[in-house]
Amino acid sequence: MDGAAAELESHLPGLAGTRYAITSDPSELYNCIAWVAGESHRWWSPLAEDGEYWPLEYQPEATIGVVQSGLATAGFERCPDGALAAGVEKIALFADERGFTHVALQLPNGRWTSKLGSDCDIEHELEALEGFDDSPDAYRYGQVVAFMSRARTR
Amino acid sequence: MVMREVEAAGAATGVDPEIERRFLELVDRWREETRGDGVGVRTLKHPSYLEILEMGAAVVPLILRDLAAGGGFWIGALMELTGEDPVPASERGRSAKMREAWLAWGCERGLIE
Repeated sequence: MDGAAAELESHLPGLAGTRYAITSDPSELYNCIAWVAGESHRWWSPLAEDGEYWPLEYQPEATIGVVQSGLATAGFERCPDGALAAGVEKIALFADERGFTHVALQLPNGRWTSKLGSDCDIEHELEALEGFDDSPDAYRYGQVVAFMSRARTR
Repeated sequence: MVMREVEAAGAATGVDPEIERRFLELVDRWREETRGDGVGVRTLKHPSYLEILEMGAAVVPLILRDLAAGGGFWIGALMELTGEDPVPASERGRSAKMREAWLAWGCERGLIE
């Protein structure tokens, strides 16, 4: 294992022993919401305090519903599951008890891709990101709580 | 009152070195421990971020300097520490424009070059 993978697994222990790949360098330019919407030049956030891009009015909390509304402007609609379907691009939204935490995008091969905050992009298994570790180093994404989909264009 | 305290802090080059050292230490820890966060749910409640807010108006020039260098998540802190909001309603949600508005605000007050 190289140093980058070892460090990533220290933040996301669920990745250990699973098939995953680091697919980009770290970047503060964009986050997970931007990534699934198809952008890599700006950060998306519904919180006014963050001061980042949001396609709708800012909201006081980043609930799953709030994030879903923002992603609806990129063409996503709610769907029941993350099963692979031809011509359909799906996303999986994660949350913990504090609200939305992360969103991952399904690739045409059925695997998933994520931008991890201001860290790197990875290709991974969906369940590998789930976890509730509250230590300072942990990327705490909770669990998948909703799916959305749109026609695949890429 | 708040604005007088901010203007008294002067430009980042004139900030007390001890305040600057502590600010940079807190920013490093804050960024490192929230690196995986996609939105500010945990970021804005992190102890280092909250301690920065408690440092008060003296850190506004340092925040503006970090903002100018591309650092994110400062808009809420600037609003809280200064009691101001120079971002026009039409630009809210446009991060580049919001940064520009705050940096222009800081330049006008001599808080950043």
